[in-house]
Amino acid sequence: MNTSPLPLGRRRSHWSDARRRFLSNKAAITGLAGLLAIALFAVLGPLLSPNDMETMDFTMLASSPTLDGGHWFGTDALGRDLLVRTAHGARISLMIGIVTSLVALLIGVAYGAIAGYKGGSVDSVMMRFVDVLYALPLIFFIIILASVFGRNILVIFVAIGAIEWLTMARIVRGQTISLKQKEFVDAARALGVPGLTIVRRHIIPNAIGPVIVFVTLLVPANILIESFISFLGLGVQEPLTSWGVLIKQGAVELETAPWLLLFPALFLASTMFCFNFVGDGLRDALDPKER
Amino acid sequence: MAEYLVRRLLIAIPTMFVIVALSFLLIRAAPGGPFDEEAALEPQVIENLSAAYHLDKPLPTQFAIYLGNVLRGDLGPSMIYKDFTVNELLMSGLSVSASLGLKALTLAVLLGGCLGIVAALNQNRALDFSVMSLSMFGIAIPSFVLAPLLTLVFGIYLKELSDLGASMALPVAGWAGFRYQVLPIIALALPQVAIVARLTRASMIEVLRSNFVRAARLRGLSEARVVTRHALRAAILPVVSYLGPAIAGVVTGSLIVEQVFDLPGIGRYFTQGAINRDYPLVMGVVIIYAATVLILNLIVDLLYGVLDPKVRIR
Repeated sequence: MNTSPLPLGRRRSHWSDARRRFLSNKAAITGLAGLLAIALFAVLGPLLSPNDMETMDFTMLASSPTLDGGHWFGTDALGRDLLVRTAHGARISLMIGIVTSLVALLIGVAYGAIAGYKGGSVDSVMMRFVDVLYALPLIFFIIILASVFGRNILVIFVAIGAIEWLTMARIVRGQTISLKQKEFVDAARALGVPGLTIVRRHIIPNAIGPVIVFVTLLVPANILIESFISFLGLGVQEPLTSWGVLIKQGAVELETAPWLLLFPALFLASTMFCFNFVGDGLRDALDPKER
Repeated sequence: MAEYLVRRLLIAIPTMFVIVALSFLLIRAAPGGPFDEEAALEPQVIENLSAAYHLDKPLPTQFAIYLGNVLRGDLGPSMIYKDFTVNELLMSGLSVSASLGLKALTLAVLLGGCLGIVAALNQNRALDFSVMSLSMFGIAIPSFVLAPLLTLVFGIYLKELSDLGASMALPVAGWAGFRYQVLPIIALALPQVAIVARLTRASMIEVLRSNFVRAARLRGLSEARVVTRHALRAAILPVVSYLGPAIAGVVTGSLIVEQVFDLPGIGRYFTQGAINRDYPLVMGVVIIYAATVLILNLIVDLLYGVLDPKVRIR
């Protein structure tokens, strides 16, 4: 093997193989289309609807879904339009899912790559710390963080992201350990490239496949965590809303106005399905065993 | 085996220490305190209260005092439920949470295991397909949607349906007898049932194709004996190793289920404590839950060693 990271032609063919496999996976494409539809709904819903999320329609308190006045999903007990609130909730929930996953991505990739590359006692101390955290029901720490630092959306970003990086670190560490024995890393080291640059330029780009798959599966997991703590009353607060907040409110009025639970729950569950289909599709497409 | 046990216990002690230290630091780093709500308190009163709860001392001293008390089994006084110690509150809640969690876990393993085996034996037929689609829903519908839906269907709609329905309808709140436990247990167990069913099906299918199962069949053993005696023992291993995450899942789910069904368990004390900033109560629950998870995980690992001969060699 020569000293360049990977021959360009082979790398391109690996990615185009993966793309072909992904595009021929019907479940994954359906999932992707579903996610696009949900994202479009989140962006366009509030713009196209005649209602906004805070206006109370006193003539239509807790109305069931109706074409009247554009309240297609009905209204809540205060007469606020559920369609627009669900779309706003989608914005917050999706944003939380994506931002927290990126926070977890940054921490996890840096931590795992350093532990794996350094090896030896540094590695075992770093990974023992991960093991210790791994043994805990971490949702408790997210709840403590969310409750002690005020129930503010920034805290939720940091709290979930700062706790959900453990698996990422393990994956990247495993990849790094197997990559650092490859000839192109030896070559880089022989040329005198500094360690941090080797990690940044050679290790991380080559470990990216499993990381992408994991991030796709982390986004729905984090959306679920946010909904969970919002349901307990410790997450997103009014006037902002998220699917978890809407489900919490819907659960209270379930007997008289079941649509208040059903629509947000339907969106949440569909999002879970779609992300999982896409994640499974990506895993099949990028599976290292098939390389 | 004994050496392994000792080594695991030696890891568990620093783990517990990290848990106590981490939650202590997090909580003390918080802006605001438990006495903030009552803005009208005299400064002298606040001072006395702080002294009574050792809040006026430097942080390391506070931590040392707390750690010493925890080691003696004293989790301190509750700051919100002023007439109770955390020990008293947790003792009253623990029996509810433990009984709920253990029953849910048992149901998850038994029902999920049976469904998975049935699906595997009927691979790619209608029965397999229906079990797998049901489990897909079980995984996609989170506990905080499932629990309210269960109360709606079995608590309310069933009552309105007919007189027979009314006699079968289940209570949706409180903790008085078995009927009160049915819905919470189902709500807690169903997501785990779904996962266990998928795991069992996948590993059963793999095991049924393996050589030792073929050999057992060739010796003329009945299919029932092949499945229960030979295949099941190997196929159950992934389920056993999933028990750790399943325990964590049940513990997490109990926060929701205890809130929705209004059960007096420790998950509810945790949520209330977190909302009211009742530091000792929150930390007490974290310590109890973390210790439970660690101990159960240890038991699961030992069980795995008993079941899988390959692990015993270590």
